[in-house]
Amino acid sequence: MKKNRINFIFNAHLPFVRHPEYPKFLEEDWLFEAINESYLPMLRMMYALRDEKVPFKLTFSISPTLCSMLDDPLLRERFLNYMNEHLELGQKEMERLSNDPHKLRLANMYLEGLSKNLAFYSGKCSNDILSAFNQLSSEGYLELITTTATHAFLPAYKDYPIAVNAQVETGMIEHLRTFERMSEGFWLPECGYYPGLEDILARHNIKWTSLSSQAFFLSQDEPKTGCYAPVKCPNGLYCFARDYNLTSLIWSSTEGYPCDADYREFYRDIGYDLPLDYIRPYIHEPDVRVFTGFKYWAITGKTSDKVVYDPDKAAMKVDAHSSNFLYHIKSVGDLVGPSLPNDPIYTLSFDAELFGHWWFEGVKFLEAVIRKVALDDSMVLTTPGQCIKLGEEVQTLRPAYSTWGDGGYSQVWVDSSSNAWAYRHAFKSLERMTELAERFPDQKSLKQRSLSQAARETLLLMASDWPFIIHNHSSEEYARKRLTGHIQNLNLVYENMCRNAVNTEWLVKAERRDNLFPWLDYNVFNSRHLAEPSLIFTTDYSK
Amino acid sequence: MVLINIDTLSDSELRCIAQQEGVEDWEDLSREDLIDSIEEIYEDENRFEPNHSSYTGHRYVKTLVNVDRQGSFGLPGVAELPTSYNETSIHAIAKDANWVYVFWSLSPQDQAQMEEDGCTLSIRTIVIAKDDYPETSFDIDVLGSDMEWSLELPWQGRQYKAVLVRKDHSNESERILAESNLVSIEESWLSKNPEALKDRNRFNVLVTSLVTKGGELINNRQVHEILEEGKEGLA
Repeated sequence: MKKNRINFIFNAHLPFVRHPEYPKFLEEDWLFEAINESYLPMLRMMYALRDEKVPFKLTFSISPTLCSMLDDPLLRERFLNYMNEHLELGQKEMERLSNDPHKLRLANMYLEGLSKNLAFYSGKCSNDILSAFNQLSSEGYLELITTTATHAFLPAYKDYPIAVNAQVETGMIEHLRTFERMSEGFWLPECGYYPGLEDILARHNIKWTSLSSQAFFLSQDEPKTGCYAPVKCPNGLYCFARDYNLTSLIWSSTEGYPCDADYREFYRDIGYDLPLDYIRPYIHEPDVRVFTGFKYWAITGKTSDKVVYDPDKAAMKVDAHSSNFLYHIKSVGDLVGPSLPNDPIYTLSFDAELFGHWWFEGVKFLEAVIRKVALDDSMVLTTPGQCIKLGEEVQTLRPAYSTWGDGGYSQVWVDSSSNAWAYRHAFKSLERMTELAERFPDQKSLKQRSLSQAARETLLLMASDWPFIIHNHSSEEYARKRLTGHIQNLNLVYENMCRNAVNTEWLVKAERRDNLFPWLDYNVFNSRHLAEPSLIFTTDYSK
Repeated sequence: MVLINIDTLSDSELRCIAQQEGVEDWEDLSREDLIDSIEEIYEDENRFEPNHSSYTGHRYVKTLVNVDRQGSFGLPGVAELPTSYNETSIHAIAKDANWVYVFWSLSPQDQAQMEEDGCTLSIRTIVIAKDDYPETSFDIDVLGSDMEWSLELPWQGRQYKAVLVRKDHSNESERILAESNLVSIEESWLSKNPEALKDRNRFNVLVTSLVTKGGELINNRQVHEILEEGKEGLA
């Protein structure tokens, strides 16, 4: 009987949002909520399993922008403020709900969660979440990998290999600096792959990547093992394809476990429900209502008449759903295993923030899955890197152009009704940045700083988040301003350099705000660099 | 990004969104009217998709609000984005296996010359020759004010490029102003060999991972077409 090998891959990513020019900034909450509701609960869960000697192996891609923000003193300080504000709100809720035992229990649950997270963050992590991840990696529980510098959607930029390489190289260097080891795997943002990308990945000694579910099925070569085994590109890069069938059990908005009526409703939050006079200190000026994390209702159904959330009922569902999930894996194994040359591998990739933040019970679900797998001889948790090291023979195949977006291609990020206008400016920015790097190589002092900042702005304007947000109209205005602002910044440097000038006022402010990758060398945008070895092999990046 | 099921929003959330979207009388409208108003605003934008089949690609970004702050985050000295960059060029980006997004610009000199000569502009899709298939092309006439278009790609496995063509009708001549990069989507082995899926074991290995528990196939036109082709054989 074959053993089912499960590769969980979590993509932890948030766009770079940092606004020191404001005392408090709404979109910075994205980071704080992700830390409090996803990253810290996941870390606490993993450390508890480790301490109990429960075996597990997971893969995390921690994006370079997220690394930069988690390592940033200002954002760390603001996160502590966020936590203290929410602890205060929790205390206030305990008083307000003293005559409502059901909701009081929930308020207490949130308050305890905040307290435990803060204790873990300040204690075990010493305010450094990245070190906590790295520790688990050093002990063999996690395979940590990286992605492009700013989570750029690469298929849109395929005609700009210099910029694609700059994204990959910068991501690899930031990972090396952060975790003091090379990333063997590479998360392609939005699973966005185009034929030929593997050559740029190989430049940096990347061993494997993860693709969308149809990437092998639509190959121009005959696919033989479906998504149940990796393939090798002709250049030797291993590719693992995401299992749509199994990930949909969690990911689907119509069939997924998180839709269960007994789970907590995400959208009903006291930030929107309670009077402004009460909630004002915990939302944003001027009276901009936001989620506070205090949510007392169960999903119930498609109705506004919600029932109060019952954690006991939800816990029973977590138990049932985790068993059902593993049952499905075994069923698939029984179905396809006999036709495969090796034990089947299931690549289950998700955005990390789905667990805990959006799906409140998601971390408990993962914990239950891990514990059950540990007791079941028919399955094991693995990582792609570990699978590769076994040296099993795999098919050589050319994957097809593909993404995990709606429709399977680029429609989400190249949408002529919402975001495609940006590429006119983005492409010109890439051309200008390359021109700058070639016309002004190896500058010193202010010009060097100005060009390096231009390189940061260029990387930032390529982030997949901006077209994605614009496409979905969620924080559209902010995304438009960010995208426009980075292009404007690049244009400013270009025009100044053409006049042999540096705008020092701009430079100081830009460096202060967009301060990611302080080590960045703008020469990475020089076309000659593509013919040279990656900087990751030729430069000492130790901190 | 999380998808919003509008029916689950509370009245206060609905009012908050209605106010933000500029709905008149948002304070006085009933719940049903609030939902109607918001859905009307979002109708074309597909914001609320209760039957949307997949969260694939939807990343965490919280907030129901879209705060329109005054001003930008612009730094000192930056200029507004130009409409175009004073050059004649054309670019193509594949949106999927059947469509490509094309944008172009004309330099002020080319623009002025065209107007002076009374010329028109066309976007030509050139299908590059392959094997026994000759090169072919088709034109779309565009207005001088147009700057972008979505072009349909009729055949998979071929390479395409978009070309900006100036047409002078007075003497039936034309001049190529700019050419895009090549765009291509390779034809898949299975689309050429759909009968391969007749084998039950192979079908299970290749297709099981593309279908949800409820039987919904992954949202991809090419996958659907291949399985449609192979269906008969399987039956």
